[in-house]
Amino acid sequence: MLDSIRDSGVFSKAIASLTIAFLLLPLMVVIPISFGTSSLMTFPPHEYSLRWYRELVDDSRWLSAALTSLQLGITVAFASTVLATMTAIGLFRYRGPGKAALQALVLSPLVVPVIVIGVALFYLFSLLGMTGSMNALVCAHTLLTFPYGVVVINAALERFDTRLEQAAMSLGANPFGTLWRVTLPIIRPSIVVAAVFAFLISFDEVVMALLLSGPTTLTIPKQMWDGIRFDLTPVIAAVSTVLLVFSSALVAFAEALRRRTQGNTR
Amino acid sequence: MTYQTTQASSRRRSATLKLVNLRKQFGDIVAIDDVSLDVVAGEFVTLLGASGSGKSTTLMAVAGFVEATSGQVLINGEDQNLQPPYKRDIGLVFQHYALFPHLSVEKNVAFPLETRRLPKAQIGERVKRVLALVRLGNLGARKPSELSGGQQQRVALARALVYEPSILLLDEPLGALDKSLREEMQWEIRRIQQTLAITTVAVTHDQHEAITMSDRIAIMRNGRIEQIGTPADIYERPRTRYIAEFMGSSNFLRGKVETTPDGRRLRVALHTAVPLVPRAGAIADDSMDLVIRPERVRCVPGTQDGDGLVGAISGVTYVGEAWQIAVKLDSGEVLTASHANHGEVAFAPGDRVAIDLGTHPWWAVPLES
Repeated sequence: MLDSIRDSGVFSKAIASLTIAFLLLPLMVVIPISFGTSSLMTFPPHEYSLRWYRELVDDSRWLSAALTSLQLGITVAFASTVLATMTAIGLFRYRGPGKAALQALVLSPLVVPVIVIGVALFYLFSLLGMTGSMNALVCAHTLLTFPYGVVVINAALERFDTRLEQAAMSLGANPFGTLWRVTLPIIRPSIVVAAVFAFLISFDEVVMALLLSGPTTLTIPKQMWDGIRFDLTPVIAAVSTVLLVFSSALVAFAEALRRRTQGNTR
Repeated sequence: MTYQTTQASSRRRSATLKLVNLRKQFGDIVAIDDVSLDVVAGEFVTLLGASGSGKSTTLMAVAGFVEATSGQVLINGEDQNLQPPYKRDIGLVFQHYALFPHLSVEKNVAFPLETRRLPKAQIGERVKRVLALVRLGNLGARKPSELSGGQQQRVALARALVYEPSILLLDEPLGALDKSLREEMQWEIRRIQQTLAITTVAVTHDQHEAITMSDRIAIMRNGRIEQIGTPADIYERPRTRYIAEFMGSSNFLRGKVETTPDGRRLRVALHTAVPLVPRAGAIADDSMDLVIRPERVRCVPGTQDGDGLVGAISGVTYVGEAWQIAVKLDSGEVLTASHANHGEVAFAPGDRVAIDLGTHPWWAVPLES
């Protein structure tokens, strides 16, 4: 990719630079603010300190929000990836009528606006008396992240050589053994990537959290939202910076995994 | 070596394979059209044919990956139609090997033993033995992607043999290898097959491969077996012109069958009568095509004219081990002769030559309808 940037003309270089700047500029503002001293969000800060990070650590609400988000993210990553793997394999093998319709149905949460799903779920969970519970958030986030997982794992299956499954069966492995010992291990890197993305999406999801979380299930994004509305201090910037580092590390891990396995199979 | 025990147990296990009126239709397309075949225990039979002849579909029907529309696959007399692939006792080597990329060579070979839940110690022992058999003893820890094509081929073979299946199936086993390696592996596969005396069915489109490896060859065309016989049968006595052409380059001289007291002859160009090998279907006054392999044609120099097969050389091509000499007969046909390369060629374009077909009888095929 770097090569293609280098080879291309001035115009495309300019476009690329502007795009990157557009993506990075907000961070260039938020990160310095988080290291400032003033309790007003001033940019650039006059002095630098770790004051807001100290306040962040001292405030137990942020810690409990972080734990909630982690617990939620991990549960969602697990549930969503298991469902997505089974769905992707099922859809990949299905050869009957209505395959396109099924695929569209599976991917529909990507198309329907999140707020619509959120409101619908809010009414549903109200009827069931589930609003504010962890289960409600897990269901909602699983619904949101599941289509991404299906897409990622389906892409791996498209590259997968199905003759390997025939080989396994000719060697005496039954369908379950074939799945467990050949198919899943070979697409495992994509399954991990799907899980990482499900976690990340859940971890910074705000719409569902606004509608469905209760006092005991405040997630970090919801806590940030409340902070911005009621008590705007540079702690928010500090939280943002921490989240940024954390998410980047996870994405880097997923990317490294993807590259390593591609190097192996090519 | 230590594979004597393998050998003994395989002899005992080696199975017969019988196809009875096997038929497979995909919609309107008939892929296998009433194929019957008997393979005796320990025999190596090759299905030879062009692409689309039904040979691979037949093999996959034996393996259980293609469900026959009608007919039966019998292994040791037992009907396999309701058996899924993993319950048929077969070893299958795929054209592109289909080695598991995430497992080492040893783990690939151990796979069928692990699915059969053999004790660990026994698995290690058998993997070692079979890797020695295919001469890969020292590469067990490598990943398939770190092996050459020929080595991957050996791993695939080892993996298909390690659990001592009663039948070995080879799908274009050498198709992905380059030429020199193919020849080496032909001998290698034959050696291993005979060591284990395992009943083997291979599929190939390469007649040379079929001739060198097989006990018998079944030529397939349009989903049918057109002829089955030993390699010499098929090469020397092809039933049809299609088979004669498929089995290697060939000259055809058309003529009419005559009956004489000492047998039948075929009268070809300019009064030459060639004795025929007796065969069914050679009826007096019928037209037939004489099959003349280039390596059996002798050009005799210095002939001016006269009766018989005489003509002028129209081209000489050097192909390394031989000279290909094209002769335009005075009767109009062109014959290709292949003279083994003994150091020099005595012919040049334009030379007058006679074709010496000797006195032994020749083979003729019916005209292609």
